[in-house]
Amino acid sequence: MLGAAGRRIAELVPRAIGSSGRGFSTRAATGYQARLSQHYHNTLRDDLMILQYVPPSVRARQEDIEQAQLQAMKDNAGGTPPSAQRQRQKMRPLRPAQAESAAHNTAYVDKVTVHIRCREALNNKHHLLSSLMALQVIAGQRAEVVKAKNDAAPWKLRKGMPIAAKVELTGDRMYEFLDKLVEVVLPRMKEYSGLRMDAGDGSGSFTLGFDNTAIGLFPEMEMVYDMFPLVTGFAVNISTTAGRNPAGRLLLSGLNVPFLHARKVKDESFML
Amino acid sequence: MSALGRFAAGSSLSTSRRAWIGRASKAAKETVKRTAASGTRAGGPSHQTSDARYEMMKQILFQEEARQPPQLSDEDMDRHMTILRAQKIYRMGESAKRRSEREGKFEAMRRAYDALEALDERLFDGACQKEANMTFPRQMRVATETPPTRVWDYLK
Repeated sequence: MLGAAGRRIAELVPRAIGSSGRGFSTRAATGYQARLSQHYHNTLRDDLMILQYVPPSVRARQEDIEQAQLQAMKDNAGGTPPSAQRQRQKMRPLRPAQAESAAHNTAYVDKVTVHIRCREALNNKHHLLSSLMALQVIAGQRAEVVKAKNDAAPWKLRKGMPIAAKVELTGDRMYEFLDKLVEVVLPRMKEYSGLRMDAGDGSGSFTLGFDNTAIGLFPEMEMVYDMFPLVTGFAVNISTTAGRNPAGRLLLSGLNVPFLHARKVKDESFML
Repeated sequence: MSALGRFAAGSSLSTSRRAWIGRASKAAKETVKRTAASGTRAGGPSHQTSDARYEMMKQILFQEEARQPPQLSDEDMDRHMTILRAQKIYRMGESAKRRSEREGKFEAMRRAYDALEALDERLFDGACQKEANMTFPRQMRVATETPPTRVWDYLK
């Protein structure tokens, strides 16, 4: 039964003449789970669920307050009405209302995107190779080229020019990258104390920017640093399923991302 | 580097290739020094537009063929699929165990909150208040079998 299914799949793969003759499986071990992933599922998830629990009646109250604030902003908008183009620019999709607390809907890290914007690629396309190679070395995954979507005359940019490189990480590779960042790279950076407490874009995405001294701090880059004619900085975007900033920050702090606390303000309740 | 543990740097490049990188990067640096010494035209283009290292990068990125996956016989494939299936069943069991624990905790918490809400308004409001800017403490590190003896202190 299983053999038939396995054989059907194997038929799609070109096979060498003769068998392997070995008595054990030769594929990589699939019982592996990244350390941060294990930590999240075993420890963090339950803690986040408990810390972020809000009873339904209180949640309803919070939603009313948020709606009232939005309405007040709309009503008190002073000055002349904006032009049609400006109106369209201002209309962003509203963030979705926060979901009811449940046992199964804690926030998790969904995707990490590492991005290198290579200005030098405008004069010499070869410099983009440095970015592609660097991302492959750091992330362990093949990077892709990003082409310009718009023209920008001041920088001699035309639509369709390759200008950046990015790699999108999910699953175990994402957790491994975060692990390296948090355990090796961030501690080695000079004068870095952590993310600020106003970090976050409001919908659960966090972006960290690094300059060109940071890329050499990755363990894989030690061996091949001389290979790169061009060493640039990079940006890391951590996309979580948290709906609001405080929930996202709580999640990231659980994964050992450092946060710099300002002086604590007493008697301040907040909404998650 | 022992401190790095599982992140210890290991190059996937062969020794000959690494020697080549060393020579090519040295050559590139010499060229840059020579051009600087001779004095390039102000604002003119660099003479080293195509670094030799870029040729190697092009080869690595675009021309090297991916390794072929190992060829398995029928029996090996049976064993492999059996192992995969067993691992999946194990993972499903673990996940179900964790889920039932989590749902039990959630139910207990919900019932406690409901009971408190019915009992006392003031205490219920106090219980619902959360600390502003709540984060896990830095001392809560991810569990590991070989923790470092010196923990990095960002605030120094």
